[in-house]
Order: sequence, then C-alpha cells, then structure tokens
Amino acid sequence: MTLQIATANRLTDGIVVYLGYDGEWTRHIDEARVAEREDDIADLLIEAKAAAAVVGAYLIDAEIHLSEESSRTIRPQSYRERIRAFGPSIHPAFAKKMVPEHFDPRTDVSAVFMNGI
Amino acid sequence: MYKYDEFDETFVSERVAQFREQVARRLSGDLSEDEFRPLRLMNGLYLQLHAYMLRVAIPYGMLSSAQMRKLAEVARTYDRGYAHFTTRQNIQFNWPKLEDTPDILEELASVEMHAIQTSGNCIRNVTADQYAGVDPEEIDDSRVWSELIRQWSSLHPEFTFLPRKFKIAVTGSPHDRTAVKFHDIGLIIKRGPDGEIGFEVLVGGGLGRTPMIGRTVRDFLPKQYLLSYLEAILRVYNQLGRRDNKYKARIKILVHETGIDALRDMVEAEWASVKEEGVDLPDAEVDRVRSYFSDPEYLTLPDHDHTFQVKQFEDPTFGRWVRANLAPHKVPGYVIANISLKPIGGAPGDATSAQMTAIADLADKYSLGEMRVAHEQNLVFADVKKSDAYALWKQLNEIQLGTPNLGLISDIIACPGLDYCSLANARSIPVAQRLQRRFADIKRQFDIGALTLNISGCINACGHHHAGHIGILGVDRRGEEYYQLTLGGSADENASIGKIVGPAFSGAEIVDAVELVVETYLKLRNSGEKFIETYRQLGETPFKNALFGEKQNAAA
Amino acid sequence: MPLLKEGQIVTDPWVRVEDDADISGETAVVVSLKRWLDEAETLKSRNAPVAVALSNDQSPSQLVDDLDSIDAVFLTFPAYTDGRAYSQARLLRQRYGFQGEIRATGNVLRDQYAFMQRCGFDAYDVAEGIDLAGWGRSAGAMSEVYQTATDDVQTIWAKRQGTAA
Repeated sequence: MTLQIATANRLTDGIVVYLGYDGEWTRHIDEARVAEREDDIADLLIEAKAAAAVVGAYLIDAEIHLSEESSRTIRPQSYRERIRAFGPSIHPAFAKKMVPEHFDPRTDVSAVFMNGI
Repeated sequence: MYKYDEFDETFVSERVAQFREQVARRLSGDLSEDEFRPLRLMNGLYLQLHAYMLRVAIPYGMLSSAQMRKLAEVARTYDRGYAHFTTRQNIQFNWPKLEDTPDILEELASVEMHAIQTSGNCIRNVTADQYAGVDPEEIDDSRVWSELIRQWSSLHPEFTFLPRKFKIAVTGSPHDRTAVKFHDIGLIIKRGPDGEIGFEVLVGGGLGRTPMIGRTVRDFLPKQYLLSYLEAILRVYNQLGRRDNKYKARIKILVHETGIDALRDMVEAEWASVKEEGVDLPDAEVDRVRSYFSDPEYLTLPDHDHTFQVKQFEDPTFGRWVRANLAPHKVPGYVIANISLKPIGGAPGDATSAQMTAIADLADKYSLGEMRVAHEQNLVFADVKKSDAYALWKQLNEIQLGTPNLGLISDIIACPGLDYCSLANARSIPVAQRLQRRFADIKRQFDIGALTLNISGCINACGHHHAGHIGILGVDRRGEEYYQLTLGGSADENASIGKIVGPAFSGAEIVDAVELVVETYLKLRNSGEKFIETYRQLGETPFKNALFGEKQNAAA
Repeated sequence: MPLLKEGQIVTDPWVRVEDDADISGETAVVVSLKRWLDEAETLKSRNAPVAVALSNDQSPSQLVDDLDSIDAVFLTFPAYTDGRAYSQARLLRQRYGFQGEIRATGNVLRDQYAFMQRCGFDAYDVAEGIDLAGWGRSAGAMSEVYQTATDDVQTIWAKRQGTAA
C-alpha cells in the first residue's frame, strides 16, 4: 500500500495544511502523520474529514525520503501535490521556506520541467 | 466613465455587509462549506490550490487611476504584492485570507468596485471592447450597454442559480476585440435598415470542453428591447438548460441539442410576452448612463506630431512599440496605447503593486486618469497625445512595461494553470515563459508577425487555447504534464476553433514543437501573409508533417 | 416541516396526497399536476382548498385556465442551487396573475429568501429551529434592487426616474 497523508486548506486563510501526529494541522508536510496500514488510512481520512478548521480534506500518496542527517522529508507523489506542498513554481519568492531539493526555486524553469519538478 | 449614484453605492455597500455576515456565519460554523461555497463564489471568492483567490470585476474593462491605486493597495496590504489580470476583464488576488475578504470588499466599494458575480452559476462580469469610445470605426459605445447589463444582472432574483455560468460580451466595432462569438450571449452593435442602433444577438458560443461559435438568434434587435430580450433568453435557458451534467449545462449545449431554429422560436415566443412586462428601461435611464461615457474635452491637435515621427527613427525600439502597441484614435493627434503585461519571461497578466501604482500615475499624466483592461490580459491607455507617446513609453520601460509585442507571438494569453488553480491539469505560466524566451528576439517576432498563442492548463480553457492561432492545452498523462497543440483558432470577427494536431508533447518538447510550427509557416507563407492566413490556405497537413514526419502522419 | 409565512412560523394546513389517495374529505390537499389535469372537475367541486405541486420540468402554463380554482402552487428546489422554480414562480405571479399561495419546498435556505420573495413566493417550507431573526435580516440585507421582478419594491431605476421627474 502506498503511504498516505491527509491534506486540506485551512478555513480561515486557505493555506495548505497537513494533519499531524498530534491531531493538529501543520503547514509543514514533513510533520504530516503517515499512514500505511489500511485501517490507519481509513482512520486518517475520517479524522481529517471531521475537522471543522479546514476545508476539503483528502488523502494523498506520499514518499518518505531520508537524508544524510537522518532527517526525514516527505514528498507527495503527484506533481499537483508537490506544487501544493512547495508553492507556485513560477514565483520563487512565494515558494515555502526549506524547500527540498526537488523544488529548488533557483532552478531555471526549463530545468524544472526536465526534472519533472 | 460611469460614476455610482447613491443607489449604486448603497447596493454595493449592503452587498459587502451581507457577505461580511455570511463569512461570520461560516467562521462560526453556522454555515457548512457546502452551503457557503456558492455564496462565496457569487462574491468572487474561490478556494484554490494554495489559498483563497478573490476575483474582482472590472466591468467592461474600465478603470480609473484611483481604482488602480486601490487595487495596488489591496495587493500590498492583504495579498503578496501582485495581482493577475484575467481573460475576462477581471483581476485576481491569489493569497487573500477568508477573514480579510469583507474588509477587502469594503476597500473596493470605496472606489466603486465589487466582486459581485465574478463566479458562480450566474451572469458574470460583462465584457466589452477595450477601444470603446475611441475606436474610429465604432458604431456605438459598448460600455453604455454593458453598464446597463451590469445593473440589470446584479443579484437578478430569477437568474442567480442558472444551470451554469453565463457570460455576455458586447462589441460596438466591426472589428471584434471581445471574442464576442465565444460567449453565451454575444451582442454585436449594428445599424438597422433606417440607420437606428441595435444588436445582432448571438447565443451559445463558448470555449471549454466543447468549444462552439455563437449562432445568431436574432439578426437585429432594436436597442430599446435589450433587457427584455436578454431576459427571454435567460428564462428559456434557466428552465431548459441541462442540470444533470455540469459539462453539458452551458447554453451552447442547449443550442446544440435543441437546434438554433427551435431555440429561436422559444426565445421569440417568450420575448413576445416579456417585452410587455415592463422589463425594458426608459430612454431617460439609457441617456443618463450614456452621459457618463461622453467624450472628454479633447484638444485640437494636428494629427502629425514631429517628435512622434522623429523618435521612431532615432529609437527603433520605440518605433516597434509604435507599430505593435499603438492603434489609431478617432480624434486627430491622439493614439490608443496598449501596455503589454507580457514582458519576456514574466507571468502573463501579472502586475506588481509598484507597477500598478506607477501605471495609475502614468494614466493621470498621459491618459486623462483612466485606463482599460483587455481580455488579452493587457492594459490600454485610450487617450494619449501623440506628442506624449515617447515620454510615456520611456516611463513604461522604467517599470518593465514597455515591451513592443502586442499581437506578436510573445503576447501570450495564459491562464494561471496548475501553479495556482485547483482545476488545472498542468502548468501554463512556465510554458509561456519558456516560449517567450525562445522567441525573445524582437526582430524575429516582427518577422513572424501577427500571431496569437494561447495556453490553458486544463480543458476549461480559461487561456482561450481553442481561439489561438496556436493553442496549447495542458493535460495530465499518467501523472505527467503533457501539452496538446491546436492550430487555426481565431477569436475575432472571423472566429474559428483550433484543430488538435497529433498526440500531445511533453513539457520538455512543447517549446520545440511550437517553434517547428512557426518555422514551417515562415517557409511556406506567401509574402505579407499572416500565420492564420497561411494556415487557412494550406490546412494542417504541412504542419503535421513537420511535427510528426510525413510517413508517420500518413500512416496515422 | 415548519411553514414560514409573513415572517412567522405558522401551522401548515396542507396535506400532500398520492395520485390514488382518497380525497373525499374536507382536507386541504396538494395534488400532482397529473392528478389535477386528470381530475380537475372533481377537484374543483370539492368543498376544500386544493393545491397543485409542480416539478421543475412542468410548465406553469398548463395551469393557466384553472388558476382561479387553485388555492396554492407548490414549487420545489431539489437543491438550492437549482433555480428553475424562480422562473416558474415569476411566470405564475407576473404573467398569469396567480393570486394564491406560492410555496417554496425542498432545499429552502435563508440566503435565497430575498430572491424567492422577489419572484413571487410567499410561503416557505423551512428546517426545524431556524433563526427567524436571521432570516429577517437576510431578507432585508439588500434594500435596493435594480431590476423589475414580481414584487412591488420600487427599483433603483424607478427611483431614478422619480428623481429626474
């Protein structure tokens, strides 16, 4: 089963958020609660959809990347969700802080295409 | 331009208060998202990929410098310092907070602006010719009628929950700049047998999933019946438009399934009653609105201006700007100046707060304090003295807006695409930027000549790809961004729908593919022939052969 | 379902009946258009009020000749985003001059209340426990209107002409 995380937009300002382990919604995808087993995934969706502070919750496929400093980063599988997670690819100024390598705002857009972001 | 009276003011400010109350009910949990969504949409508020998006109407494209300054202020205060001009004479803010939107709308109301019906299944912002009132060929001013339609359609109690969105455009010139044939209703102002003003009424045009060119439902409608006739069309559509499938809900499908003749019979039968029911306006109200669009006091100027001529030789880039971006004005000594929002490598239609403020100042200085927004996502100064054109251009260059590319290949129409839009399948803006860079050489652009290149990030076609001489449609192919090419579309009075050529290209390939199409045209064209003319002459085959190889193409 | 009329919750006297139900008593009944068309004479001769329920695809024009004998017409909003009943109400009230009750049924919400009033509705099936004061505020939120509809509200356009005269 593909790893799943829950995402939504925050009601008050529409900002992209992810459901964390503590039941709070976080702006940082790396803090998202990852579900792998079928019943965990079902629970995750139920909890996400019940939240009043967010709009339009749903699950997305994700991959976990482990870096050398043994810090963990999460990367959505679809390019749509990568754009949601890391900001518009054409406005480096509004990309989120601490963008992982696969979305480097300094990269030339044509190169971004080659990399499939 | 039109000025609100006390009634318009009350209307808009009460609408803001009403929305403030609806937002409060949503935030408190009284309203569910399902209940709130259509309410916020009716006030132009979307929830997009990264944040809410607020679409503000610029009715028939008219903006005063005070309004432009306010838009700049909103972008600076409540958003991230920039905004996006759309293909329907609207402006979009990409990052407003839900809780701030009532305040934003209140700010906008203070300069007579609103977001009423910029979304939702209702009558949307009415669009008109960006050269209205100054075009030498114009028959009548499309803004007068557009303002009347704006008022009539605002919170229309019967037509606020239509089967689908409903777009109306008005053109008063024989040369169409509004894409009038791609609207649910297109109104073409013309003269009747005795020289009186009226409208040819088109119905069922549209882009999107099923592009269609509007059909004439009435060849000549005397002007005094405009509103009753619109009401008759809308009533037929409200009752009979499909509601079982949102992709088949636009009036174009009703026209297609019913047939234009049968639909015309229904509309005419309905109109026979409606026109007796007091819907139409007295002449006095039409005259009152018209008075706001009367000519400013133009100076008596010689049509020839020495500096204007000399500078074109001294500064060839200015010469190019004159050739591409300026259009004739009905008054001697004046020109219409188009300001391209398509600098090479920029996001088409985007402007920063600083640019917007500077533009407002320039409008005060050089164009009687007013400007217009074109559906091609550019701005227009309608009343520039020839003697001021060079100074204006110099100052536009200081804010990166002096690009001499109007109507050329780098003047790309593009929707926000997947960088912002939750409906999109692929990104549009990066493709536009790469194409602009590929064709950045201005001499090459002039050699290629008039060419419209339109990009949409999904089948909804906000980037008008079907109507571009070259169109690009973003699609999702097995989790990757792909781009479908269409050729031969046109949005003017000779409207046509672009034809899909061959399989889609990857993001990496699409720019080369477009260049190949352009090179093929350059090879095949007769002297002085525009791209669309060559395409219409030769058809798609030579272009397909160039793109996919003759053999493969024949086999396919 | 509570019935809202003239800003108050009132008792609903109407009973919906199936096409084959016995209606020999003196109950105020709501019948389908089909039953009305089939049994108009019987229904007219009853000594009790009768209402006709129209679905969204049934034209009010089919009732034109009988409107004097009908006490109420029930229209429906399957979802509040389905606006067909606005046109039906307006035709009934404005074009055909219907004087009886026009009832809004289905997904009837306060944010559409004012639109319904303007199109000729005067009775509303509403959810249990609605905030009556809130509904009142919603109805009065927009004091100015541009376009002529079915109500007798003076439009902005009429006021302007009054000012000009």
